[in-house]
Amino acid sequence: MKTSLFSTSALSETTRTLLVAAQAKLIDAQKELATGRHADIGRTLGTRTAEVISLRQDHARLKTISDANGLVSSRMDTTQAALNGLSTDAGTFLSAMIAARGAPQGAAIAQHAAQDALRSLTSLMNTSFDGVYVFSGINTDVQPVADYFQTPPPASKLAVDNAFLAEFGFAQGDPLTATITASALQNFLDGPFAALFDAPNWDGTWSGAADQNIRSRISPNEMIETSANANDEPVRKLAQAFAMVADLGAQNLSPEVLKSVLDHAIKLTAAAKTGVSAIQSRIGLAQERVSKASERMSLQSDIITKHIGTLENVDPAEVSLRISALTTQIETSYALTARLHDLSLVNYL
Amino acid sequence: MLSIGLDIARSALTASGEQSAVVARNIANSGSPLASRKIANLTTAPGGGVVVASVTRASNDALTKSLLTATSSAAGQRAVAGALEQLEATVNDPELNASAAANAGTLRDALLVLSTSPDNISAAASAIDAAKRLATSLNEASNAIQHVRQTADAGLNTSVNTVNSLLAKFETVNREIVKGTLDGTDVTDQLDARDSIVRSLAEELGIRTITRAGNDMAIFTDSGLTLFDVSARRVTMVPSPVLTPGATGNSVSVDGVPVTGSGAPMASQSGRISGLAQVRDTYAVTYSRQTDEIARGLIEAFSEQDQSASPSLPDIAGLFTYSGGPAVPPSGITVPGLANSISVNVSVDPSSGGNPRLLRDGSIGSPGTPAYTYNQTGAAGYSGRVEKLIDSLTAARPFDTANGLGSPAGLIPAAASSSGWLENVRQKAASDAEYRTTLMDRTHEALSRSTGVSLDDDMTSLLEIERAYQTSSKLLTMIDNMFTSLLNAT
Repeated sequence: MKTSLFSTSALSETTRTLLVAAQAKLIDAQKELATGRHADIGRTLGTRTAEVISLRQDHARLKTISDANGLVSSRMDTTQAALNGLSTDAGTFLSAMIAARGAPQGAAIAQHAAQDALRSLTSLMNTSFDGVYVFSGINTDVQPVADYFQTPPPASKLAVDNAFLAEFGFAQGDPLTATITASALQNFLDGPFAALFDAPNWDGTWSGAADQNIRSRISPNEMIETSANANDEPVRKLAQAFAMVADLGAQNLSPEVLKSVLDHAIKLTAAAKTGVSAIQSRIGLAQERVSKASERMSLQSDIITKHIGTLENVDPAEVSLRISALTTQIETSYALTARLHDLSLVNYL
Repeated sequence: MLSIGLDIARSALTASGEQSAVVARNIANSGSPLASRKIANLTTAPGGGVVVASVTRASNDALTKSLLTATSSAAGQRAVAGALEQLEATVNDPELNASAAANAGTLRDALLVLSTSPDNISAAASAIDAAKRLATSLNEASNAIQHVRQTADAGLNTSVNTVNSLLAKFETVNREIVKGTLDGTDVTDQLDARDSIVRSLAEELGIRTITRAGNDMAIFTDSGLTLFDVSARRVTMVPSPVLTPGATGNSVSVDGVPVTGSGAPMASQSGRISGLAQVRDTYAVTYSRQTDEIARGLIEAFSEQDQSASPSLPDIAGLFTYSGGPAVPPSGITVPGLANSISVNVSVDPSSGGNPRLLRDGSIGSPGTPAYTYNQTGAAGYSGRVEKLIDSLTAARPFDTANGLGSPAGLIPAAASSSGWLENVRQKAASDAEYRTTLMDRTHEALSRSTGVSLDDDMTSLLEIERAYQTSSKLLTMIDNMFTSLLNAT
């Protein structure tokens, strides 16, 4: 009767299963060393895989918004440059008007300066960035202001012409304009002419822009207005002042009347210039919020990356140790198998 | 007296011959892990000789029984772990962004880009593309789940057939053993064969065995149903040719009593059949419901409302639609098979001639209907609808509470928690399978050590037998010499 607990097949079976297990572990460990991450994230983390997936989505979202913020910033830079131009134009126009008040050829100087200013305003308002008209509000595909001096004349020019004709009974170029009195013109400027630049009339004739500004998501939970608008009051006032001097027959007006027109234009322009600065500071604030948001998101993004790392990554030192331990184990196993194979009573009989 | 000595020596020679035959059998079987060691039992014959009274085998009842239990558990857990491994392809490494949650995240990011430049046609097209990838990933997940269920159903059928054929073999072998035991012949090889059949049976179905008088064996399932008692019982299951989402597979019955399925009073606890049934009826079903629920949430999140001053029209499916569209499925109730039929509306899909700008303007579900148009003025830079879509993609919404998704929850977190659920059950099943397999290996090793063949041991026995044979031969020669001298003396 046998009493020892030993069988030949158990011996080979044991070494075989141990070897297979060790080799499987070695493959995983090698993969971990190469990638720096767990060989099977789902198997290691279990239910916390949901956390990793969510974190990765948060990370992607922050990156997308950050990238979009780059675009928004550039668009606002463009807007700022245009507004700067507008402010400079207003300044140039103001000094030209002041000079024209006392000059003998005042009418011509003033008219010329006003036409230039109006052209410049048109082109600045039509600034586009990446195929988007930046002063158009959400009507990004519509050019906000048409060229006043183009042929055929645009709606804005026609509206001014009609208003003038309705008030005085003749067109601006008519020599009869010399007969217009200061008070009559003042009435016109304050009444029908000013009405042309009020918001409802402006929208149809001068501007194709939508009142609604572009709103941008600058961080996951923050949406702000990021555009200036051709419909803003300072823009309308500037256009009013420029058009007043450029196209109300200044060349024919009596010097007294001309002076009152110029004074009116100076007053409007000065007020509008302050208004432009207000818009600039509004956009400036938006720019600052965007850069702050981007900064914050980059910090958040770093934190998320770090957190994903703590969940997914392995300790390389620990893995190398594991690999060397496994290698030793497998080598010993090989040596042992070979020795055991020789170790049979049959060989000694 | 001399002739008695001669008889005894002759019986010793015969016994040695039989003993060496048994040793030869052992050595021949030394490579087979399931073979047991055979022992030739010697007794003194009447008259003083020696005979091999019987051949028995080394056995260990306790270890044999624990090996059966360990085998069943390991096989069951391996079946579960294997199936969950297949399902895991729908999640994969989080780095690959292959899960539904990751695809929903990609769609949200594409919408974010679109909201910054609503008029950009390529941004709209890439958002549609992301939506299509998401729909496809849900379709694929649904297909994978159905495939796993179908495979499990087919596997159950195979297992049932295996069990029946094993039981038939068992019946034959068992009868031989009972008869042989009665006749007193050597039945050790048949006993080995019967053990191996029982072990194969244990892989398919959790069983317990009882050995009764005359080496007769009866088999019961681990839940107590008779599988074999004198004759084999029928194990039956009707396979389902097509298992649609939400459809329940047929249960496996032993002798007409169901051992799988919800509410089976005598449900089997281990073995491949139990594991496959769990996959088919529980894990895959839960995952399928979760996936369907995510699809439903998507359709709901992207549905379009009547924008008229006094809304009168019902909500309709927008960017995402399904076979039952354009009606939006009721909130918070799982619709089986939704993940399979969810698709991106063709009216917005540029590759089907659709207009991607509808994503900005609305009225995807019913192009040209002013009631569902969000961008009333037709502004190119209108981002209101896209912003609303982003919000509703992130907003918490009700989910069917039966699915373990958490409710209310945002779509992406819900989809992520579905992945988390899957990885969790997979982790448990895999480590359980590993543990059970190790346990089985250990038990097997212990059994093999206590009942298996040891070459060295048998070689030593052979040496003893050889020595005994030599001595007996010597004895014969000596008796022969004595006879000779006796004959010569007379």
